[in-house]
Amino acid sequence: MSRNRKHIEDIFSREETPQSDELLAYVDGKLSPEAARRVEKAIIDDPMLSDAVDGIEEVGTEAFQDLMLDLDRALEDRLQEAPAGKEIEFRPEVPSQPESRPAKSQSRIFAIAAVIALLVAVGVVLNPFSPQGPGAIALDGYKGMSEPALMVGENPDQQSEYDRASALYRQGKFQEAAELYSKLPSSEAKLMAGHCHFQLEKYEQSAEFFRAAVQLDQGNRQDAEYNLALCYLQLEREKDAGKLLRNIAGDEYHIYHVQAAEVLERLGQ
Amino acid sequence: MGNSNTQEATDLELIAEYKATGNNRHVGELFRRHQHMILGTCIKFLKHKEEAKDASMDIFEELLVKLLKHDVSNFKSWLYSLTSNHCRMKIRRRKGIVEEEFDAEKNESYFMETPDYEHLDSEAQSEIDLLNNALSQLKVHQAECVRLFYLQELSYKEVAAKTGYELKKVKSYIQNGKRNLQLILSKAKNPRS
Repeated sequence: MSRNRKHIEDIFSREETPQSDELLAYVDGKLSPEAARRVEKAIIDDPMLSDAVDGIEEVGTEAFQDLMLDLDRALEDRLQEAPAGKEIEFRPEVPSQPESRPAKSQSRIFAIAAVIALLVAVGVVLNPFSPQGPGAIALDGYKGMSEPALMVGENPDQQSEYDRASALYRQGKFQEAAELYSKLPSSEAKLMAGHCHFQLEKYEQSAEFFRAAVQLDQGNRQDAEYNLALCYLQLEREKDAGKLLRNIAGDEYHIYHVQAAEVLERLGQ
Repeated sequence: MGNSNTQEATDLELIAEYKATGNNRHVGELFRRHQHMILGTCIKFLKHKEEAKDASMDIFEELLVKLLKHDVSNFKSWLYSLTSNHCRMKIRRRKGIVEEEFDAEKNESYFMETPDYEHLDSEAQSEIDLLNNALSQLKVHQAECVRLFYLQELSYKEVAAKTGYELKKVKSYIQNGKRNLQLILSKAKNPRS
């Protein structure tokens, strides 16, 4: 009834995501106050919309529309390249980007090797688990190595040591890789040591390294947190895992918030 | 061909079609629907038009691969993770611009839990007391902006003009204020969580 009541509902209601034209009209200040308000309320609830509006404002609507047209063309060209119905090329998921780095012509080969190693490792590790328990759910949720952490030459550690460890990791030599990574002080190395132990099914040690990476908080905290939760699942510390996963899932800015929610859902939490 | 179906399909139906047929056009349609969000987000993160355009196409490529492998139940949310992850990876590779998107305000709400506010219908008066109480627990600038935006129904610009905060700050204060408010309220209503 009262205005207060309406305000409460207002705070907890959600608006539909506006379409592109409406968004551009909003940025240009061409919407009615009511329509603008709807957009603004939608922005509050939708972090992607909020970021998108910031982006549009940054370049202006005209330039944005030009970019949209360019993108349309690029997309159409791309769709022509691989005709409808044809099997697409299976590009490596994780390390597909290092190729843009100059002077590392081997990175693509490493990328492919890494994917093969990962597929082999995941395949080997996944099978023995029943599809039901938290362990299996954790393995399903496990995304493997972290691309930025594996990237050669971008970490504060001595490059050669880190690179050697990463090369070993890519070859699936997780024990040796772990030994090297664990001697290095950066959070990337801690994170990777965590991944090595995870691959080796040594979840206690894995959790220790992921926790260290979380504590160092140097940019890969979110990766480490999510993987730490998976370790807890493996270690049957479901309470700790649930707590951490709920924190992750509840933070829409967390890069693993969707995955965390999926794992929670599967755990029935 | 078969486009009329494609036009009307939901995002999840398009994904299912793509999984069943491997036809890239379904992903093309899906991408077009969200293209403005993807491109805008990439610009926001990367602060570079051309790079943002390239990143958007890279994301299309990622969609082609990842949609086959993942079971996506909430496409929009998943797409945001994919897009922001992609941009963060790019940013991390650029020296000196590490994690700068995460301002203090966002970090502040890092451990925010999803609120449970479904049962807000009853007991209007006590809800209002709760709301006022919760508002008083917010940081001053958040409470100020939330009040002006929701209770006085001002626009971002009007809130900015009234408070003297920058427009971006206003948005961020309202976003975080609202989330904190929801958290406080859900805790008050459901102390167990």
